[in-house]
Amino acid sequence: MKRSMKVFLSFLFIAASVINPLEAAPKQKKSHKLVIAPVADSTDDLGFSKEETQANPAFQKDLEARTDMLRIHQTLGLITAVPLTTEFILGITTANNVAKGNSDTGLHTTLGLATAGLYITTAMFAILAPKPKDLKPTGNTELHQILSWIHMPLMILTPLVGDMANDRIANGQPVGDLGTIHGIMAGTLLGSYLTSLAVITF
Amino acid sequence: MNKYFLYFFLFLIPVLGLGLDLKGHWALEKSEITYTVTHPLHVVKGKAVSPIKVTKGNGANAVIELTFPTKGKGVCYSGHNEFHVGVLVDSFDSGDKNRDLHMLQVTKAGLYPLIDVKADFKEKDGRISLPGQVAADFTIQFAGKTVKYPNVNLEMTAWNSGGAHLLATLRLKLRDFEIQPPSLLTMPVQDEVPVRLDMFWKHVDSKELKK
Repeated sequence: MKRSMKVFLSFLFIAASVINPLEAAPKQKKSHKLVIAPVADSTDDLGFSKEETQANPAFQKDLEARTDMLRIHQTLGLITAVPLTTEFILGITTANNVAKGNSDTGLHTTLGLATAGLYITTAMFAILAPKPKDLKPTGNTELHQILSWIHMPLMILTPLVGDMANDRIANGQPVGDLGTIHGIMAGTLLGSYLTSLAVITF
Repeated sequence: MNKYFLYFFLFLIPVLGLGLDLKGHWALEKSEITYTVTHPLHVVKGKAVSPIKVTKGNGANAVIELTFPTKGKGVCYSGHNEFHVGVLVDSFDSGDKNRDLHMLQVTKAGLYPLIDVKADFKEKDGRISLPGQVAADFTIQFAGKTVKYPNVNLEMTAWNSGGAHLLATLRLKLRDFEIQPPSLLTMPVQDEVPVRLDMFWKHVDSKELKK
């Protein structure tokens, strides 16, 4: 009995030594006897489809053009912030002068038109930059784009309201609420524009 | 009686896992690859997670499918371990689509859409103890360049019949791959971009591997 127990335990020990946990795993029968081929040398062996791994020079060209245009958009956007802020401060000064009876709004008007021109040029570089189909902006770019829906219409409407107020000043008519509305629109425009610039930066 | 105890403990030695045999084929089951880009104004992390759940169709016909933007195979034999991973560059998501498109541009993803990572290491005495670290040699093909990163710490937190969990951080340098560091407000990002690999591998037979 003692001898047979020893033999049985010895057999168990040998069996356990031969079978390690990995080789005992299902689907891994006799793995130690496999003729093991080298790991996939080519990426083709990994299982990617040709469409996934094929070079697309046209796409790369579009990406290059997009980056170049957005770089210009970024530079012009920063430059535009300077005359836009100046124009806002100049607007407050002009409004004070008009309240005192001065009718000269020429500098404010000229700088306003120049700023609008610069703004439109900046916007065009973003609008016309090539983009993949069905591109949905995410993250800060999405916020940047949402804010453009505030400052872009205001960039059209604010000068128009300013022009209406200008006509009244030129004709010696009372400006009424137009000056206040123009000021609120300009403030919102500047605020949304600078926020739009900040979200893309930080 | 003491002899029986001796036999019993001898019997337990292989089960205790004092060393595991890694022989055989491996396939990448799931992974998360994260790059970290440091700019003076902010730090950005981009992740490539695999598999991804993709919903195809609408309403009642909607079907959820798994796609694998990261794929990998491995083989272990005679103490040698070779792992090969491919990652689609466009699978990285930094949380900002515009930034991701810019990343595709600087890394020339249109021309080289795949990052090819090869790692190999040898086991001491043909066995590995867990949890543990080994020095692995990495070869990376990215943006049209091939760069070797020798002696990278490869952490192993699990390695058994259920699978293997491998972790490594590669400190890539943009300069090595001739990538122009992207800049914002004329300030470029740091040249060093740590890439964290977090991979779960499953043991497969060679037939399954061919699929």
